[in-house]
Formats: sequence, structure tokens, C-alpha cells
Amino acid sequence: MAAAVRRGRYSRLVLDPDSLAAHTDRLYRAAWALCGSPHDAEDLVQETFARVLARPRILRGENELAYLMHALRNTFLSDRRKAARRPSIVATAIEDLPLEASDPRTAPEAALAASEVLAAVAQLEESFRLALIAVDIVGLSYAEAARALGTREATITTRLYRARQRLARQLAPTDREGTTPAVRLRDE
Amino acid sequence: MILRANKKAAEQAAITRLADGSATEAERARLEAAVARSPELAAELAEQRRVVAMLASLDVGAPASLHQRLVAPEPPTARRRARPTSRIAIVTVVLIALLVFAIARPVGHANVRSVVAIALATGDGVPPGVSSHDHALLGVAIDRVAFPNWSTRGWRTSGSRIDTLGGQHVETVYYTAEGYERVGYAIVGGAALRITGARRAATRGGVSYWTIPDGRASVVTWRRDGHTCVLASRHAPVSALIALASVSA
Repeated sequence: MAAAVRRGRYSRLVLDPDSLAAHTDRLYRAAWALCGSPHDAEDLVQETFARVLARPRILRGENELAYLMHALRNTFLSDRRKAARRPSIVATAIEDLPLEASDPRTAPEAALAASEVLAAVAQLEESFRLALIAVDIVGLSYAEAARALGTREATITTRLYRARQRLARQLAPTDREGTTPAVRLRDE
Repeated sequence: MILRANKKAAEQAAITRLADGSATEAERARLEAAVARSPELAAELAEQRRVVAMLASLDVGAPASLHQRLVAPEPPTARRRARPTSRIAIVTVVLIALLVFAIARPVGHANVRSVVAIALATGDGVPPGVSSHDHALLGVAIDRVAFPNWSTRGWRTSGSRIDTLGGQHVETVYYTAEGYERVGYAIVGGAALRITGARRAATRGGVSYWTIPDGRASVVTWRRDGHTCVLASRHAPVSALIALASVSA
């Protein structure tokens, strides 16, 4: 996926812009879980790709997905910092494109359940949320997630354990009350 | 007390890895035996596995609109090569069309499409250097609208050219970066050109960026200080062009 480029005596991997499209769906799910809204997720993914593509990127021993997760996190944090410094009316003015219908490939009931799961993930504490997104939604290994999030592998493991535990408990009560579950946890 | 806490943390780490299949064989064997003895551990493992399965089964794809905004144009090498005879026919038709167009069109009128063609063409002129007054700009400007210096972003100037379209000057600077092909940045002197057949792709800092459909290239156009600017590339996607354009707007 990444293109090998020789420069001087060294061979390096440069992120291939054409290969980014293959990661859009996964990044979009991650972005949705990160910010809790499908529309904000669209903006976040577009902004992340725009930043990544603004200049050639060198992959230093990491895969494309890990690099994009790192970029997504940084864009999210930087956008949030910027939004906190300005009036809320400006925070929503990044795009004025018309809103379009969500992906027709997804059945409405599945989209509803998925949106509730992703909304629940978005409510987790940020460090737990990022670990969960990196490993369970984006599909990185623990080592890749640790590198993408700038922490240790052991920390990722601990955060992941707690994130899953909290998410399970957050989504469980409606099941126990016998009402229609907001999200049905699929048995293995 | 500390030993017990460490043991619990190690157990939790092993459960976490076992739940998503990343545990080593040794960890797996040890933990499965422990789970068989402890209903508490078994419940923890089941809870972790349910969340892993739930997140793995999320069936949410990015909207088609997002895919379209991010997609890069087909590289020119991917297109089928025309036969020599059909190439001659195409050239003849194009020449006739251009002749008819030139006769029918009033003199003194440029359009964005012709500026795009220039931005995608080659520039034999000397690559301009950095402005001595402002390092964010190059030392070349048209009607006091200077070209940006993107060298800190990995883009260096590789050429330039000056054209006249229907009486309006068009100055173009070409930039290249490792991993990308060339990008042409054109600024039109005089009155701004009308933008037709374009779609608004983004608004950054109050400036609207329009993309023009072109089967061969990505094209973005916008206005700086009342002047039409065009950024075009056969390889970089529209989102990358908007990111670059918004640096200088």
C-alpha cells in the first residue's frame, strides 16, 4: 500500500495517497465513536485526510492505519482545542456542504443500533475511548495502538479492559429490564 | 496487598487479550484453566468478549458523499491508450472545435477551463525563489497577489510560466513534492473569472473552494483578493489541494 521511495542511501516508505480510500469506512467508524456524531465524524475524517495529504508523509516503521489513527486523534484533539477558544457559531462553520443521506447499504435498524453503540463509546472517558477505538474499532494491535496514541502497551491493555467493562455495563441495563434493548450484545 | 493487586492487574490484562484473540498460547492455556475454576473470571471474560463481538459487527460505512470528496482521480497511466488513427481524428475534431470556438467567442474573455489547462501544462520558466520580505510567500506576484511558499510543507517550486488569455495575464507556478506529482498554481490578473460548472467543496476561513469535474485531474478554484486562483494536479486529490489552497487564501 505504501510506496517505497529511495532517497540517498536510505529506503523509506511514503504514505500512498491512493491507498487512503481503502481506510475511509474504518476511519469513519472511529471518528464517529470519537466525537459521537455522524456529521462531525464526516468533517473529522475529511479534515484528517486533508492534513495528511497536505504534504508527503513518511511511515517510520508503522502501518498506514496506525498512522491514520494517530492523525485522526491529533486532528480531533486540535479541533476540540480550537473550538473551545472560539464562539460556538464558528465551530460549526467548517463546511457548508448540504447534508446527504447516510449510506444506503446499511439497514435502518442496524444503523440505529450502531449509532447507539458508537454514541455510548463516545461517552467513555477519553483515554479509555481512544484505546477501545484503536484496538476494537480500527483493528490495530496493542503495540500499534500504543504507538499511535503515544503510550505504553501495558497502559493500552489496562485502558482497554476498563473501556470494555464500562461499555458493557453502560449498555446492559436496558437488557435486564426486559424492554427492547437499545443495543443487543451479540452472543458468541 | 501489592502482590494481590499486581496479580489482579495481570489477570485483567490476560482476560483482555484472551477476549480479542491476541493472547499468546501460554497465556491462553493458563487463563482458560483459571477461568474454569472461577465463575467471576468467566463472567469477566464473557463481558469482554461480548463487547469485542459487538464492536466487530458494527456495520457502518462512510456516506457516499464522503467517499466522493476523498477520492483521487485516476492516474493518467490507467487510462486506455487511443489508437493512432483515432488519435488523429480526435486531434482534428479538437482543432476544428477550437477554431469555431475562437471565431464565435468575443475577444478579451478568458475562462477557468483554459486556466486549468495552463495549470496542468509544463512551465519552462525559472522556479521562483522565496520573497525577501515575507518567507511565507514567493518573490512572484500578480496584481500584488503573491504565490505562497510551501517549502516548509515539503513542496518546492519547480517551474513557472506567464500567459495571456483574452487580454488577461495568467501567472503560474509549479510545485513538486516527494511522493506526489506536480501541482500547478495559477493566478489570473485583472477581473475575476466567472466560475461555471463547479461544485462548492469546502469553506475555510470564509473563503469558498470550488472543484471542477475533470476526468484527468483534480481542480480547485477560489478567489484571493478578487483574483481567480486555480490549483490543479493529475495526482493529488481534491482534499489535498484544498488543504494547500487554504494555507495561502
